[in-house]
Amino acid sequence: MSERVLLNLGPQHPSTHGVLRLVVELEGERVVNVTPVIGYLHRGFEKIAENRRYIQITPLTDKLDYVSSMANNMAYVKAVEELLGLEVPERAEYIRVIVLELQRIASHLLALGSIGNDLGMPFTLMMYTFRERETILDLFESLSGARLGYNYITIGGVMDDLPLGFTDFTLSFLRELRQKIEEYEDLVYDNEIFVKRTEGIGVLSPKDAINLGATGPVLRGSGVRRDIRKEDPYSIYHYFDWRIVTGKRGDCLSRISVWINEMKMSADIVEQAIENIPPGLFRAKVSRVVRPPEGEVYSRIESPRGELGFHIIGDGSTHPYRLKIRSPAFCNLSILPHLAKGVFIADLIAILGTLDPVFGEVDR
Amino acid sequence: MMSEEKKSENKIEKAEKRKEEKKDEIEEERLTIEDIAPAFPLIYRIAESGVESIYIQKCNKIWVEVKRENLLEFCSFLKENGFDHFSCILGVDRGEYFEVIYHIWSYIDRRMLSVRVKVPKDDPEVDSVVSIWRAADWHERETYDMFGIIFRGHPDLRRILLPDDFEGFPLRKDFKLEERSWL
Repeated sequence: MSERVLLNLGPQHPSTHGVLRLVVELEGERVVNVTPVIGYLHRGFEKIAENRRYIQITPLTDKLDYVSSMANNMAYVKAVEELLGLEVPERAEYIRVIVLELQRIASHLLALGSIGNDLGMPFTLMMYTFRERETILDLFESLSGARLGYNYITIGGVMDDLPLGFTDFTLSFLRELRQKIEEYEDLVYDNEIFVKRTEGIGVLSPKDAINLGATGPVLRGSGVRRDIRKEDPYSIYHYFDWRIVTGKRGDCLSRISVWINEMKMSADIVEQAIENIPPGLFRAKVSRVVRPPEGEVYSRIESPRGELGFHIIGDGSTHPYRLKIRSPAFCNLSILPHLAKGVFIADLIAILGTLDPVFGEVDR
Repeated sequence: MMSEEKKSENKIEKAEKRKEEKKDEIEEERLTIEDIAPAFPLIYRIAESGVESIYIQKCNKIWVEVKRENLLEFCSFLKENGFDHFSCILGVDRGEYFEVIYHIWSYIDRRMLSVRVKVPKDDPEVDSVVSIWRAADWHERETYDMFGIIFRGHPDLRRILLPDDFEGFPLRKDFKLEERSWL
């Protein structure tokens, strides 16, 4: 029986994906207990939102999950639209789906790149994935003028129509991406070290995944075929032909395989959307002062990280009475203490990487 | 300039009128228990299990109000009947009392059940549901952090987002926002 050691990781630590502090109890090299300490990036978002108008809140949501701002915009805007009872033009919904799925690809590329860093093979994977992510950021820049924090999806539709040449450029990019994804697969599955470091590590059983509130790739990595885009359909996802991607074993490698396969699925959705996009308005007529009626709504979307929900209580004024964000990264991170019992400390970092927390969203 | 302002005012008035009309339409279309019962027979048992009121917003969104004493019993009843995904908890400061809302999704029935519990301000305590859904752990800590609502039976009820020495509960409506003194 060796002596137990308390180890403090973070909050400033390269492999914790942001400002996460972990207090780890070690027995030799084995982890006995992990206590995540969060809140270093807490900005009191829910309180700020109570003192802002509905339109002024959209740019705030960009800073929640800063690597997938489009999804946050969409989740918030969808909740407000449900509260208003607003119908969005079809063209706007198509544009939304295109940018949301491109955002999902960009977010998964970032996650896939940084898992390489966590496993101690810095930059090889990240260099390649960031090459493709850069193109998506360029595309978003042509849409909204920004590379992070787009504020593109607004109440009633989107900010602006697609610029000239956007669709052609996107299609050629997606063709290229398909080949690149094959390269990533070679880089991940054919790399003996990568597979040995992730296969069978941090296994989450389907029953536990549901009971612990996992959503998104973490849940699907455990083989549970659940996705809000299919289950509680929103926008126009039911127009397209696609299927939910799942992993088989619930370990780190199957969560990574879910990212890779979901990128292919997203590319399919974008291609179908671009093929069928109708002409028309890109934004419904909304009055300058948004004043939803009294009421309550809880609406959710499938963000790249899982179930992102906004609960808005309106009291008939221009400010929300209460706004609550159900962030997927917060819930997925709460699984870490259950997953990390009895693993090696190096594997703890790998498990954390596959849970893919973004601290803008965890701390809000 | 004046005429433009008047025009915009008129527009707003018209929009509000339209909204009111829409509201009337929605109220006419309000669903009842009988409407959704063929697809979701469990609703009868939910109605009989000691709930105070049921409001059906959409066919897959049901709001239920439960008394504080019955919460744990009602939640374990839900868990047994397939409501397995614990989506989130939120607290609301309603002025005279607090409200705690639980959003629970059924992966089998594909329905959201939102459970409301009223909690008096002078005795802000409610039973913890961690024993039923382990996902509730951090959510309850967050609600405690923001509202000071105590969850009885929670294994480790500490502040989560705010520092341990923080005074007050920021999402209560009586919490005053003050400018920080920088010097």
